[in-house]
This record gives sequence, C-alpha cells and structure tokens, in this order.
Amino acid sequence: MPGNGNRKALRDLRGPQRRIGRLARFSFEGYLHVLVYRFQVPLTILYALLIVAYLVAGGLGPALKIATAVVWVLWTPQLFEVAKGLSLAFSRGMAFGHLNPEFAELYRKRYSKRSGIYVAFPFVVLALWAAGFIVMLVGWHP
Amino acid sequence: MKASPFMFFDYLGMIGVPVLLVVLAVLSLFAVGGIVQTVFLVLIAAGCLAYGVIGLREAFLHGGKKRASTHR
Repeated sequence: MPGNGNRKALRDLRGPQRRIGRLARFSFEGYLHVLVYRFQVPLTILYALLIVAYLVAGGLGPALKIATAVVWVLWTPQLFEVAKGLSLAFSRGMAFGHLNPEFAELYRKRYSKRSGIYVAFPFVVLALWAAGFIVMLVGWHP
Repeated sequence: MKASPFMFFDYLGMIGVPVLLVVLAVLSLFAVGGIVQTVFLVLIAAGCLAYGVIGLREAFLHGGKKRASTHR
C-alpha cells in the first residue's frame, strides 16, 4: 500500500483506484478481467506449489486435476484480454480500437488492414482454449 | 502500464502457461507421460510462480512505493 502522502495519486473523481467496482459501469469486461485477476493471482501461486508437491511427493493426481480445471477457468478472461490487446496492436487500432470513422478510413487507405481477421483472433484463441479444457478433462489423468 | 523488466516475465507467464497447458492436454491424448509431462509441469509451475508473484505486486501492492508516487 502507498504511504499516506501518496494516497491522493491513486484517487480521482470516480473514487480510489483500488475500488475496482467503479469500472463495472463503464467497462463490464474490464471489470470482470480485474475482478477475476484478484482471485487468480493467489490461486496461481498455490497451484505452482501444488505442482511441486505433486512432483516431489506424488499421490496428488485428482487434486492436481481439479486445481488445473480451476486455474484454467480463471485464466480465461486474462487470455482473452491478451489476445484482444494483441489484435488491437497488430491491426493498429482497427480491431477493438474505437477509432473515429474519418481516421479509420484514412488508416484503411494507408495500411489496407483487414480488421476482420484481427477481430476474429481473440475468439479463435478462446475456442482453442475451450477445446483444450475439454481435452484436459477427458484425457488427462495425472 | 509502464514498461519494465518484470513485464517480460509477466507476459511470458500470461501467454506461456496457457500454451503449455493446452500442449500438455493434447499430449495426454497420445499417452505421452513420464519425463515429458514432468518437464511441462515444471515449466508450468515456474510460469505460474512468476505470474503470481508479479500479479501480487501489481494487484495488491500497487507496484510498491516508487510507482505509487507517479502522478497520472
């Protein structure tokens, strides 16, 4: 936590930044991402420790599988946002960028970007991720 | 977010761990286990640890005192 002197820097008209609920009204997707991240972070560390325990001691196969499923689900919003961010960057803001129409038209002329591929990319990643989840549930028996 | 050496490991974990998990799941279809599975699990554990520790710093400690004083 910051010192008292710096508390003001983390606050604006919407309230303190650490109150993540303030995001929900403006960007529900962003709120979900930040909310899940707060659960994911400590659980990811515990998951790493569980893997070490499984490799050293053994006999924790079912627990490892359940923990993998939980981590898999919690990782979904993060992965989707990363894929979306990469699409945004690779398409120079044409996909998911909210550019104004005139500017977007100029960009299309200048760079001839097909934004459809970039718009599809995060959803393709999500589909592969979901398919992997099912394969893990059915086929993986640690 | 300001670029820092931590970001490299953060993104490596954020993208690398899901890729490793999917590959591990696919390999299980071909009954690949033993040493290969152990190597994958070690890499996943390392990635999770790096991602988790950096995440603690980012989400709960707000990047420490140095970043807290940065005005936006």
